[in-house]
Amino acid sequence: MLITILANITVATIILTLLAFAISVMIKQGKEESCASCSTKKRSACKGCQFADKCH
Amino acid sequence: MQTLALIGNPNCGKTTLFNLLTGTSAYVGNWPGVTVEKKEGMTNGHRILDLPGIYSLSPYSPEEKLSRRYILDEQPDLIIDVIDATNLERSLYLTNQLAELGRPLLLVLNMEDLLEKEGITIDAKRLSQMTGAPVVQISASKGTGIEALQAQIEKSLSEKKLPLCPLFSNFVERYISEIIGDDYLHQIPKGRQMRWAAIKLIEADELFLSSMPAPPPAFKTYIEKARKELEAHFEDDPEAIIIDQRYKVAEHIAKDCQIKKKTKKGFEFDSIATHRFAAIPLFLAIMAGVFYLSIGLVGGYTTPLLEELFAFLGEQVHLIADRFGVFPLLSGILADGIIAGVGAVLTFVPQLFVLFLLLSILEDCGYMARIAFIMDRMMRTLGLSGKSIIPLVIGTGCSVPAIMSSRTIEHQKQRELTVIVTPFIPCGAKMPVFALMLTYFFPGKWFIAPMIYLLGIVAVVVTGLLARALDRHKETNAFILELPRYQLPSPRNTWLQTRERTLGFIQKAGTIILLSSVIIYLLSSYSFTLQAVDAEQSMLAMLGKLIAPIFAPLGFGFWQASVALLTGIAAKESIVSTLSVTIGTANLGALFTSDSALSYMTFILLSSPCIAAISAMFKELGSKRKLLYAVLWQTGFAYLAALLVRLIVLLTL
Repeated sequence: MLITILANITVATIILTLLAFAISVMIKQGKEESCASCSTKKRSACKGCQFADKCH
Repeated sequence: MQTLALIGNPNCGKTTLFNLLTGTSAYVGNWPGVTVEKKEGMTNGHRILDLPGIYSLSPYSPEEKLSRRYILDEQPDLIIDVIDATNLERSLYLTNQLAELGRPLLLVLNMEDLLEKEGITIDAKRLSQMTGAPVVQISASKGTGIEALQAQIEKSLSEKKLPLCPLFSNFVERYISEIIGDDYLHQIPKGRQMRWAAIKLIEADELFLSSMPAPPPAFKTYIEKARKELEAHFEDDPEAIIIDQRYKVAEHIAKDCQIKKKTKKGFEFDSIATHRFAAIPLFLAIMAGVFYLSIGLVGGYTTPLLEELFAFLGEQVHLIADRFGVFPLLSGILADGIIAGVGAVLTFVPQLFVLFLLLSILEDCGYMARIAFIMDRMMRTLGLSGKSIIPLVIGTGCSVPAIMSSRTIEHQKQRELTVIVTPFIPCGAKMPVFALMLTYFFPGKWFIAPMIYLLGIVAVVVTGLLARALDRHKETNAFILELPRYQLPSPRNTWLQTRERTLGFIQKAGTIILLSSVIIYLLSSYSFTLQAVDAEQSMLAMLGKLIAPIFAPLGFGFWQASVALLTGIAAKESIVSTLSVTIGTANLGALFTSDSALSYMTFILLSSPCIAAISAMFKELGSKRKLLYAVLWQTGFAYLAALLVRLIVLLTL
């Protein structure tokens, strides 16, 4: 019984962590007004950064 | 802190030098027009700016306006004029204008490594004497001469020596001297030089005139008289006279400082690459090769392997979850939602890496600019700007930056039309969908892949022709697109671009695809009463069935395909993950046929782009109404084109 509860908690935690990570990255991208095509790292080589006003 | 401004002709290597001096990795393209905004960095404790490439300081294009305004208003401590050493005379035209601005000037002769190959010798000392500015020879791409350049920058900053102003013919100089002598010129804005202002008055430069108070009547009459006398003497308008005078000075300096040996010209690849009839077939053949290598060869090996890997991973998760009694909902989200959805997209990473690598090589070696050159003629006949080709080429990577780059187009209608047609060019995000369909329905038929590009180009042409027919005030403008020389692609540049695009793709899989996979799984597993049901009775199926009939004539009137199109609005890669979650990529043949697969690909290629691109379109169009028209046109056109493609396939097969 305990193992089942722990297994459910583990799977739920994995799913929630992945979702939280995905959402946080998307929020970060949204705030940076990046072109949604490049990574959020600075000094990006993405072409979008040459054209977007505030991208990186 | 002192400020340095990097300036020069397009594609002379400013950004490469900027990266070397600042240690950054800003995008460098082997074609003109890559930098459209100024970029800032630090070198040896000095602020350095990379300005857009320009041929002159005449305020015609946004790039020229930006560079001129910056130098005049911000007064950099040193202007670093990057000169393409193999094109000295043309570069000196801009140098002459920079010398008139009254700021310390440093001439950097870039691409010295190519001089020998081109049979050119430059006397740097003589050039320095004639221009009054120090000269440093470097090769930014090879990284040579950078230490000497840095030492000279420090020296120039401490000396603050001004360059010599180019002198025109006596007839022109007489008027310049007389204008300089007038009291009116004491009213010029701060930072402007008397001689420069006098020349601008002769040219009747509108931007300059608007910054000055109204001249006294006597002075105004004198300027008009001077302009008329110049016109009569040179039989040309004053602006053209000044341009001619500057070119004469540039020609004189170049003649005195360089020796050009005549080199034998052998076969030139450009005789085919830019040929009126051969260029497009060659482009299609090259793209076919690119697709064969990436999707056919690499994808053929890696996609099945990765599919098996993710299927195995999903099965193992189910097995383990069942053993430990995990709720089916949770194990389903993890295995059938996240692993199946994200995995379906990630299976394309190896082939997309190769595709991005090959496209970067084509761009960096200078071939893509040839395509731009060929298209330039066509663009103008379509009512688009020659500059429209820049967004269209960038659009092969991602529509968002491509749409943003259209802001360099001066005419509003041409700019708006470019914004509307740019998403017709297949972006990297649509590639997994095409790769998926090609792998399952057309194995070995790699000639279909370049046809996708051709179809995108046809859509641009049709839209352009239609817009031109409807436009009563046809705008035309000249666009000088200089063909860059062919070069070996820089490994660093190619790697940076390929890595960035691939990482961007993987990141999308980990963010928006992951989220949409979970949502799609939940919606396809539950009914509106929140009961666990078969996919056919799920919320997703109900929603999909509402819109599916619209697509019945196109051959994909089933809810899975319709829902995938809807999720594609979030990100085009979501189409693959949605099909994977709802049908399973291995079962595509149960619903799609070869004609409906082609029609589906056509609809995805031409219909309205993802939400990020739609928002970029809104930003550039600046109106909800225009955006609505644009999206309706794209989707309507996509529908008709998909229908036509299906009919053609059905009639021919």
